[in-house]
Amino acid sequence: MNLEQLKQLKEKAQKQIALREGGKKYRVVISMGTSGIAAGAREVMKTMLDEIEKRGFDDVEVHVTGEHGLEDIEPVVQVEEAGGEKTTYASLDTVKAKKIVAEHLQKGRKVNNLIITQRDFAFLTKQTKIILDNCGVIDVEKIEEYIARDGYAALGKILTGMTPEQVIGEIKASGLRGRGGAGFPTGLKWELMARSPAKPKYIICNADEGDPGAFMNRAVLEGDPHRVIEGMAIGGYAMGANRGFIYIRAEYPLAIKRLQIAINQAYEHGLLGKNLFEKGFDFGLELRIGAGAFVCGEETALMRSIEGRRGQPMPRPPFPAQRGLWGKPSNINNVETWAAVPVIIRKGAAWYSTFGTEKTKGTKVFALAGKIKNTGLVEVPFGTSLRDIIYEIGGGIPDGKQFKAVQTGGPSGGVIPAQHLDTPVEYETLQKLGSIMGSGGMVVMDEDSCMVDVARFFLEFCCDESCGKCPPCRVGTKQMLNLLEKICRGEGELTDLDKLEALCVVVRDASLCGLGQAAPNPVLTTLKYFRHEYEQHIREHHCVAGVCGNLRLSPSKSAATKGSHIDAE
Amino acid sequence: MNQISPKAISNAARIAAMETTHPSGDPRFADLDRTIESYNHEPTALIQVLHAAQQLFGYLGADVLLYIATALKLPISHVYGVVTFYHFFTTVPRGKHQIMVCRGTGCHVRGSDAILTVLEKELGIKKGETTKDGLFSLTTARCIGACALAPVLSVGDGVYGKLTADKIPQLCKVELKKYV
Repeated sequence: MNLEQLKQLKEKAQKQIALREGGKKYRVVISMGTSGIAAGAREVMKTMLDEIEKRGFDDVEVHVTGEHGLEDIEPVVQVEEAGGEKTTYASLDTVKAKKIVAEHLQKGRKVNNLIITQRDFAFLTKQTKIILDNCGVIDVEKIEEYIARDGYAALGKILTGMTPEQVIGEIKASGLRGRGGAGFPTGLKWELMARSPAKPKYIICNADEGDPGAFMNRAVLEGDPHRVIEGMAIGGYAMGANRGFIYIRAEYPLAIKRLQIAINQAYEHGLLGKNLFEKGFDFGLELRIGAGAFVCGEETALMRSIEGRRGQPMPRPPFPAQRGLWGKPSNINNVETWAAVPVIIRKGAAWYSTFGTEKTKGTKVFALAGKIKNTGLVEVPFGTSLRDIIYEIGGGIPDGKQFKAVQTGGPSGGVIPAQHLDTPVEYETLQKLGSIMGSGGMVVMDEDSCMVDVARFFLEFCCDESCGKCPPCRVGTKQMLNLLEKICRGEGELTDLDKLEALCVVVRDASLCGLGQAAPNPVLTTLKYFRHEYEQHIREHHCVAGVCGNLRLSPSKSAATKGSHIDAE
Repeated sequence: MNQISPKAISNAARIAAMETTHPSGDPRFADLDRTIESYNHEPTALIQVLHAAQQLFGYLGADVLLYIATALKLPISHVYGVVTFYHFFTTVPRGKHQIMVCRGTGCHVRGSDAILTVLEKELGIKKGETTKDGLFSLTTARCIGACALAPVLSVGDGVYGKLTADKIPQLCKVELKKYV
């Protein structure tokens, strides 16, 4: 594949999509991400295909795409007419799907009461979709549709007209920071790797996405996998690597399937493999599947896992850019970081840096979940406030309940209470509040969530997932969990809070890797902002949210029955 | 899969014609051999091979692990160390179907603990155990990515969402029958 051939393929694909191959009248696009399938998208698709066949339509083509982000209204189907008009149907089931075929496709009459509401549509339109701009739009199993929307043009551009140094310069100028959580400047990371003299070098994509409640990467991998492939090939050229690995968690079977299809298609089209764009650059990519270890999201543990070993982290330095996979220079970036690379190269660093703030450029995809009206993916420029994300786009708290806190950054993050809702979201501002950006998970909690229980929940997770190598984490998280469980059972003492805080400091400062270092964050932030809940659990044996088993009675009743065991019910 | 060009047709034909080297003659070992060959017997492909083996045999018993260790020229202690490190792998047989209760943060906040408690009562087993008839194993997952439907549980490919504790007895009576 050379640049001219890519241009021709793009034009051909664009024509096909516009005219609908063979002059078809309707193009039906069904969102089939994991969340859509869980909501019944497969049954909807089967029903529609059956009905279309039964009625003998030959002017309808059906495509499968990834999710577009608003999970509450799935299954979603979009009907595009020959003139370009698009109708989005939401919250479907098999009965409604039949109606759409019978009314819209057969008689040309839209089914108005099944069309997405303005309110739900606003969820999508208020966002700034850069990373997610293909998700929910392109047929995810057709490389031509990715190419039609300028896919692989960035790879062609750099191979035919830029040196590796220029590519790194562009990424540096864009201000892109690692989207995995640490926010390290990507351009600098690439430069350090490029300078490393040892060979061979490796490019790695961290698609482990272990944070519970985070599904941003899953949406990109299921909805726009070529984007990641292209980003990695660009990185390979810039850093002098000819081999890449995508490490993906086993819990994402649909993403694994679609990625493999995409990789195979890229090889078939000469966009992966030898002599890309006839410029003498070889780049090969393969998948490596995880096996259910959260710690393998940590870069050194991830590399051990690719090597077929126990995923136990190693001390840094040496950093992966010096000694990584099999002791060779390696560069690991998150799915979202790789996904940003092609558009930065295509549209330029100057364009990209118009989004975001002074310190943090671009957009971030957040996964909004928990006690929120609109559950789904939110892509906004950095600097957007928590309030806007949760209320403007998220729709606020359902059932008339009061907002209590938002938990950001997964198990490594912390809770942020109402008084900080106007904080503009970026790496440093969240860190100042005691939390972290993390990979982008945002779980909203209301008055019915107990903050002590939240801390216990995350500690239980960290304890479970601790690799066991270093005592501060292995022993420390277990001791912290014991204390929290004791408090949740109503057997806590005030001195337990001092022990807890002391343990937090030790575990944070002495752990070998990020899992242990960040495990105390949920405890520290809940103690900082909700200390009264801890004290209520201890002094009054009362859980104000009504969550902790024995402590659901009113304060007076709890105190009166102190010492006796009541069945949790 | 490790070569730059994955299309090696003559190689694939040779692999397909290969006979299994396992004395039991169990044909599943032939499939396992194919996977190991596709990775060129590279020790680093251990985790991918273990996935394939668990898919074929349902669990990773001692004889399968020894077979893999020999094929990849790895010490059995290394293989065992890897198997016991990762949550996905099991060395004991599991039920015909996995009932997986999601315990991600989104589900936890919407009450997944209560779902698990009632399920344990209905099935008569605890998390990690298998029903006496060998049909169902009860496990938990950290997040299956269907947060809009929280709290969620999955049985095989089927996902059940927007659950409440009082829906569970009915779910066990009606839905689980479909998997028998």
